Amino acid sequence: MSKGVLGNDPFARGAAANPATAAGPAKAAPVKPAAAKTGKVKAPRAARPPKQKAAPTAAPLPTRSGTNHSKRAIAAMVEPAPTPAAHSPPTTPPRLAKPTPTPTPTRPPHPPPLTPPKPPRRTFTEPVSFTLTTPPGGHATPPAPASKPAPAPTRKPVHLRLDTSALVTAPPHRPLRPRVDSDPQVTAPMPDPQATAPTRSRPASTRPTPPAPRAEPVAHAGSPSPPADPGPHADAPDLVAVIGELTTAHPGSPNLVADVRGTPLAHSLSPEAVGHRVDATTPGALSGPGQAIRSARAIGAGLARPMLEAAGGLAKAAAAAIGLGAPGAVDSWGKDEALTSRLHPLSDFLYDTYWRVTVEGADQLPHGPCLVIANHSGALPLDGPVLSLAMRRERADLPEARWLLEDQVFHAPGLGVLMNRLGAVRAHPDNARRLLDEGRPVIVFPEGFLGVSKPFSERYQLKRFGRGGFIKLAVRHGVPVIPAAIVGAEESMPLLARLPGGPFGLPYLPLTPPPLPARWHLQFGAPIDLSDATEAGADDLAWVQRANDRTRDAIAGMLEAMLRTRTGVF
Amino acid sequence: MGHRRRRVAVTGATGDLGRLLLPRLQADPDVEKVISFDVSMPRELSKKFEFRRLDLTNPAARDELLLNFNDAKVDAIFHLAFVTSRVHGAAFAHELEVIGSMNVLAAAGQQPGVRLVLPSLTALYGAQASAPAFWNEQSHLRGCKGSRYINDKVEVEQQFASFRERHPQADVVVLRFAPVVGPTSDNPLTRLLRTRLIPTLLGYDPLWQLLHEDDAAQALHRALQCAPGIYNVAAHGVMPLSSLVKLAGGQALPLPPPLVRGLIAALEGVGVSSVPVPLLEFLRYSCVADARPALKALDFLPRHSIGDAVRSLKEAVS
Repeated sequence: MSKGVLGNDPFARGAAANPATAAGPAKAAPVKPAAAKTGKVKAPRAARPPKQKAAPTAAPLPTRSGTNHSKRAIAAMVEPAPTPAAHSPPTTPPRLAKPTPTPTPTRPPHPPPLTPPKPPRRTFTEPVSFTLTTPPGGHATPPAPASKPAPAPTRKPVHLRLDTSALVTAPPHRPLRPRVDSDPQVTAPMPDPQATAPTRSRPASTRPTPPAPRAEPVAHAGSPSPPADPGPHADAPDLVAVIGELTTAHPGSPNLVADVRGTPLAHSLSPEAVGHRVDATTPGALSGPGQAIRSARAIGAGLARPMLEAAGGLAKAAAAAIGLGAPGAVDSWGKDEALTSRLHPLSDFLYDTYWRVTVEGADQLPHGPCLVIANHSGALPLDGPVLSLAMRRERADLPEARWLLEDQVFHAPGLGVLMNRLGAVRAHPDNARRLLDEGRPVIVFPEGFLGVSKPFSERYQLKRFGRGGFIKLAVRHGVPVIPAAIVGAEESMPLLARLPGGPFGLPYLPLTPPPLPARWHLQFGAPIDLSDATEAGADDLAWVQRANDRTRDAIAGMLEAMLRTRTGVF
Repeated sequence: MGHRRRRVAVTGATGDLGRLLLPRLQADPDVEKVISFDVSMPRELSKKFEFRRLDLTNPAARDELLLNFNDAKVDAIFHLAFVTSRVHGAAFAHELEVIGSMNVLAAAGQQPGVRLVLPSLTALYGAQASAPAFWNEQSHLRGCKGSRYINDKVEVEQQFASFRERHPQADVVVLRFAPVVGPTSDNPLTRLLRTRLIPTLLGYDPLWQLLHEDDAAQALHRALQCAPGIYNVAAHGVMPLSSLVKLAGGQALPLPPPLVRGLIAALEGVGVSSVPVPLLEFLRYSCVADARPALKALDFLPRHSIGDAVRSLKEAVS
């Protein structure tokens, strides 16, 4: 199953294939690989409901009000054509000359067409082609593609038209470029990509606030909506589009919205915007490494401030790992709440922006204690923390979940301590029993160490599910078994090789790149049917094995379906 | 149990626990008489107390104990004669703890209905990779390979367990204390925590439980009346070793485990004793016991949390 799914894997795909596929994007291609990606990606993006990220971006955007430069620059670019921009006429004129030639033109067209729900990523490629046609009819049409455009179109149409007119001349290539590297061109008006990112976010935020914040169209329109802002939009079309993409997802997934609320810090940080932008570009990008590099760069630049904030948490985590944590208090399992809180900025960023975690089926989780059975995913044991974080966010009504960790990880120097402080519990039947007695959901990875240590080539192929201990536990404790599937972590942290770890006291040293920005998708399934348990219950080992296989099959099926429908890894 | 006032025998009365228990027995109106056995005399004795100089390692100790138990008609025996300080050699310590306990049990076996109270350690469960997060009283005592300090006490517990089987009519109470700390305590842990710079194992920060010495003494006192059985006794809460070190006023120095072992070996070669190498396992793996049953059975709530307990250590130092 996994192999079939792998087709989606960027690692498996040829990056070249994407460019070829995206003939339209060819224009964009010169600018960057992203263009090619966009061509391919567009469809996937469109298919993918805007992810949560979009929503978060929208929220943060309003917050960011500091990027006047970028706005102005954009406005300037737009203004020339639309003259109407009254707000920033003075600033715009000078900038107009510079920006106009470059991306501005392309962008304007994009907004209207892009406006449609999922265009953000597509923006790059689509914008170009659409731009030319769309501008005139685009205003009318755009709403159709993007259900939410309605509000935006009214405002934007003017700007967009203006932009388009001016842009028409502009080759699509330039626009693409500006989107990605818009900063350099805009440089005069817009100093840093970071600045641009915020700009984008701001417009988006403003837009959403008034009518339908989530609709991409809104975002696009949003930028124009503020009369003064038109200029900036021209410059920031890409950004806007990105934002729009991000935002677009919101309507579909309430969870996303929740996430956004949950992560005000992350959102407020410009890095998010950057991250979104990156994502938007990245999705189109064919090559994982390229994306990773680009995203890393963008994140590095844009996330400086947030990173500073998170750095404290990281330092704390590192201290805890080497044995200098000295927490003021831990709970009886060893979890350090203070450390967890300090890591919130980081974990929220990873969750919302970097991995764009989406969660499905959280309503399957019962109110009482339960066993959540999941597949191990990724070379680093981060699936447990993310899954428990997802459960906390999606189901705040449930007691905090804990996850069981196999000895090889739990007793690994450094890593084990850190995991324990974050809420991991050593996998032991007594521990599981006690956790269930506390009324908690307990996350179990029955694959155990085999699941963690499987090479990247075997990703998403479930290993043996232990000996069915969790089934016995569920029957004896009378708790439901909820299957859960985790997709994305394998690509985020591919296990490329196992290096000898003896000197470090480890069974092996995983060779894996720093976590890559693959999208994570979590899904909870319907409870496993244990009603056919015989009188012997947990002592009927044959039945236990059947129920064990049933659980494994359920998760394998979910994985297969999720991988098949996955439109892109990054 | 409580119809007539109790007559109590205490071995090892001048040890850490005996010193703390005697004042409580003196203040207890239910205790009519206390006979203390030791090689040296306890400081303050009221009329309630009788002192018998006794060396438990002496082969004649069993008969002497028997004579005294019969004479005084003791109802309860606190067997506290264990080595916690480093002044004794390993061979003597083994004699005292294992052979001494054998003598006490042999004498106690002749006293029908007597109550035997034994302070033990949760450390006897062992600090092991395969341990559950919480040991319970039914858990097997795995001890600590290579540590006389731990394994002799495991052997003593085994003697008490078989005594319980041979004498079902006897009330045997075993209190497994978390590491006891306090201003007056002197044991391997308090010595470690009173050090300024404490080497720890890089990448490990196990969870610990502690018990304040006052609470330990109170639990012992309560053991006069509780239902017979085995109970884990610990202060409320657990803490990582790094926190204990910090609260005790020291500075943890995480070093790679092989380096720490080499360092200890080198120090011992020079004649400086530090933490015994086998006990390093307690710096690597958690050893935490579930102390909830004791709260109810002993009807006692430790007055000091783990934080208070370790801070009391610091106050004593300063």
